Amino acid sequence: MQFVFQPLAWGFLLVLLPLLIHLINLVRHRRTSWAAMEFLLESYRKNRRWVWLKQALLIASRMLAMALLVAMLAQWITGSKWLSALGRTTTHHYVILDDSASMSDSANGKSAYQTALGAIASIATSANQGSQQHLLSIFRASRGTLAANRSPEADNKSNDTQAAEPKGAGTGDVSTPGLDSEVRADAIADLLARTIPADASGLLSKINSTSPTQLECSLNDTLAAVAPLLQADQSDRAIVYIMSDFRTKDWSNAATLQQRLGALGRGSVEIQLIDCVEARHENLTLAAIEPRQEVLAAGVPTMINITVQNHGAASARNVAVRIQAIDYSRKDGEVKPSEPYSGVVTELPPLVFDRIEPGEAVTRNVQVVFPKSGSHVVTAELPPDALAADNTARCVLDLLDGVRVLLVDGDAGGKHSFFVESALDPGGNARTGLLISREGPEYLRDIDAEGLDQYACIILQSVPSLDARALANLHRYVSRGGGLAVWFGDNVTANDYLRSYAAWTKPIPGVADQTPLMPFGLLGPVDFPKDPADATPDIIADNHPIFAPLLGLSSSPFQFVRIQRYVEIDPGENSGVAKRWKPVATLRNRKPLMVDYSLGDGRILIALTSLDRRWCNWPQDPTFVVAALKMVGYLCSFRTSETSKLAGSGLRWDFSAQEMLPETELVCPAPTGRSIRPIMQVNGAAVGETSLRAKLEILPEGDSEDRVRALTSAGLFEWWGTAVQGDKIVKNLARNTPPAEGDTQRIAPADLNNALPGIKYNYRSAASVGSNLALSGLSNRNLLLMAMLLALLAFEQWLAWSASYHLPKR
Amino acid sequence: MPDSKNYLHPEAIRRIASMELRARNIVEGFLSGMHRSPYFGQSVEFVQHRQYVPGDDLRHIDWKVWGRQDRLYIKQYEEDTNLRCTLLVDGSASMNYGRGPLNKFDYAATIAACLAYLSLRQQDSVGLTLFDQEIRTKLPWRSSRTHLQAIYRSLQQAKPTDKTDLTKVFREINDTYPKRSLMVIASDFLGSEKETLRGLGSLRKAGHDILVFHILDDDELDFPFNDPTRFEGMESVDHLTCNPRSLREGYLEALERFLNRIRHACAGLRIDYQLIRTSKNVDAALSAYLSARMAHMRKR
Repeated sequence: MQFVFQPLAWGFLLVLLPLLIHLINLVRHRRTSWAAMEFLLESYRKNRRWVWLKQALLIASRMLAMALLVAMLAQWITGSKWLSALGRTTTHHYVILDDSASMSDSANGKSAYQTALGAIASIATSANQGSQQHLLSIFRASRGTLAANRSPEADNKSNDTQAAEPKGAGTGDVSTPGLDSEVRADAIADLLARTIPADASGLLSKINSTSPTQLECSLNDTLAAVAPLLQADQSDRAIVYIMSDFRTKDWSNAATLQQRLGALGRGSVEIQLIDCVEARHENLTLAAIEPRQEVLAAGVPTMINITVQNHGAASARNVAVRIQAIDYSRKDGEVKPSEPYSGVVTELPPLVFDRIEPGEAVTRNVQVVFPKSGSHVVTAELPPDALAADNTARCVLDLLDGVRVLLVDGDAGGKHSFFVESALDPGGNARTGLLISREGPEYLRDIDAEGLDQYACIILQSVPSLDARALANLHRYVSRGGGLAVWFGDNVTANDYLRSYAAWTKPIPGVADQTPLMPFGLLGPVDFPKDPADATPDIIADNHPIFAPLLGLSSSPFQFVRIQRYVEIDPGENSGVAKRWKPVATLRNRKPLMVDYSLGDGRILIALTSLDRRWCNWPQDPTFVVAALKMVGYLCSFRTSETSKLAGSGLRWDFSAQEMLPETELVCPAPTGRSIRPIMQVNGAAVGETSLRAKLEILPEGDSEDRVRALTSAGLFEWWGTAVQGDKIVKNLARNTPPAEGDTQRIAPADLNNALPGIKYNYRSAASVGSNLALSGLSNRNLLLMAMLLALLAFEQWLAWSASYHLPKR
Repeated sequence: MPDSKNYLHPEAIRRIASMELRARNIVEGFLSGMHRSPYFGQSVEFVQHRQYVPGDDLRHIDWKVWGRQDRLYIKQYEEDTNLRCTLLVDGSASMNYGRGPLNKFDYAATIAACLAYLSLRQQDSVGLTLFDQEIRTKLPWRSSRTHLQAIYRSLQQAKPTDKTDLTKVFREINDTYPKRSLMVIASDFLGSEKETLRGLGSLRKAGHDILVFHILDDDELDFPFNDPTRFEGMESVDHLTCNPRSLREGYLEALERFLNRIRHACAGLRIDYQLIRTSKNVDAALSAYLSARMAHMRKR
């Protein structure tokens, strides 16, 4: 016999209860002396057999009633023919398996994903015990997500016969699923409408060999793919099992999910939500690892911010994070697939987090120095916990020998750049990692548009009016992530400001982006009188990265800074871009002194004064050196390549065809439980005249399981190429588990009910499915049991009355 | 219930330990509740006249008064003392049963004490026999007041322990009391039914007038048991563990048949039969006794 709630089958022991009560009553009888024994014995002799028979029937009926009650509560299901005479004949089980990273949440050595696989096996096993026909389809959420997120280019490459991505996928549009969706569902299915054989182990061997991915998977895409299949389903009964860990983040405000489930539930489809996690576990997540917005160069200390978030319910204390720095600077480096990293691993002192409250994210930093250039890596690893996938994160630091900074000085002698140049490149043993170049304003006009890209940032010092070409070059440079700092000066007379910088405040001819280089107009230089009381510093810094080291002090660090002149702005103009800029520092009179302006992917810092002594004495103040270095670091950060991405992101390497051979090797992270890292051969394709692009796309419907798993893993991807001179060149790509997967908070059944209003579903634990089966095909006999129970109770009452268990009214 | 009747209730009777006080209270309470005693018999000592009412015996009309006053009056006398009343009280083990204020033996003893007191108060002579399977106590007829103490003492000292054998007992009684008398039997008759009826027949054949008080407890008449119970025989080694509710109906039917047989047999033998519940007042027994006494006196 099979039950939906198999543990409740222990309740059948309760059938012994009536017998036990009867025996106890017999043992606990009272004793009484009795005079009229003759009549009692006469009655006993007369009624003995009948009383015994009624007693036996009564006990038997009560035992049977108890058994029926337990069977009802445990939800007896059977596929027997005579009971299924009115039942359905074909049942199609659609299993949507959440294989996101959070499904690797383990307890007692068994992950939620393994629990889900067990539930699937139980479905197959239970289906075999009935006489009806059962079909099984299995879809993994990761396949749906990867298929939905792949690029159209990859689509065309992978399968010319397949149409582009269906309209419904990933857009929330489930109303008009077309043929494409069905094709895609067919392509991503692990099993599709397969008859469950007597021995299902072979059928399930493929899915059983899988493991949870390290991706953040959305069930929406898979549901969208399955919906057309369900609409076209010809079976008598269709059941959709969603096997997931039911995290609050995924289900609490999931309008799309609600919409898709609602669309499924409108038909005759049964929805079974199978919870594969028994309880919430304590979990720490490495939420982020990234370098600070500073100059990243070889030999320059780099501060790495490491953020740990506590997703558990209890405080975490003394959390020691293991830090490793992997140096890839060796020119004679070679691929080491049998080792975790091919670079030289240096163990750094662990980073200790004293206390992390539940839900809190705490950031600490660690300093690393790589003496030589290269694609270096820093990894952080948390102590083991229930969810191992989010315990390790890494970032890549592509360090050059130096970061190029262009100083454009309005003075041919470079007198305006003196202070900045001194601050950025003091010489001696002090290494800032900056390579300073100083040019005149005409340089901006004469250089090619792409020529400015070699500079991490550009600083203009007292530059008079620039022509349209120079402005266009600057606009393009900033829009593509460049950093630009503008300092004014005496090269422009007070009367010239309106005229000289008018072009900055207007759209530049020939540039598609109509956003001006300067978000406001200039009114010209204004004298700034000294504060007679000398109580308030002239500069009031806002909370901005360039002033971060100077904030939080007990007194203002700008006490001795004196601003004598500044350029007043006219914020009334270009109000359309007003939201793109904000003051970084203001004057005592609340007028802006330094402004941070966002343009495209880059930033422009506009200092409304000059570093000339007639304007201010800030260059002589120690705070200027700090602010200048931070300013350059800040402006350089917008062109820095991604230090890490989420697992599953595309893998691409663009390199020069003149410097490297097109053949490359990609060393993927080692799969769980293995020590050898898989290697893939990738040939770069020509992009333009001098560039090659090596690219790997994930094609869930065409790639092998191992290839998809390797490419979607979290870890370090070492991409090895060969220089034309024969040297090995490595480009590292860091892929981390999405931090959101570490959020182990689970949605309560009541909240789930609120999140899915009007949707008829059955929510149960995987254990109940695994051991019993709510399963399809096997008809639930509760109605029959209830009718039998009612009839039996009526019989029992009659029997009890007949056996004089109810005293007649006198 | 009048105050005087309160003395007749078993709960009130139980509180009086002394059999003498108990009998006096009951009888005096019983008699004080009557407005006019109709129980005056023939005697040599004139007591009073009473106006004739239809139904009175014409032999008692005072014709002299009629001759003088042309009115019919009845002459009333003190009762004769020549009535012999024999109290037969069952002292078998089964009489020990009772969950109420009085068990069956207490109730029977109380009735016997009351009848003895009442009889001696009316100058009758009273004898007492306590029996089970044989006669345990036997007091001859006496009409003296001192005899009452002997009766009380015998009733109080009796300990019901043994079985019942009425044939043997009644045969001995016939031998003991050869003269005709009013036999008052207080028993539950829970023994051999045949022996009981045979014994009653032998007494009746000897010419005795018989008044039977068939005393049964409420439990025996109603069988109100609900919980599983082990019933152990009081006069036998029989026992039965059962659910009483399942046997209740059969038990009551068997008991009813038994009572009917006893009742019919008594009617056939012209024996006054009175079924007494131990929870009821004792006045029913006293009234029955007085009626039987009157009938006995008329026969003489």
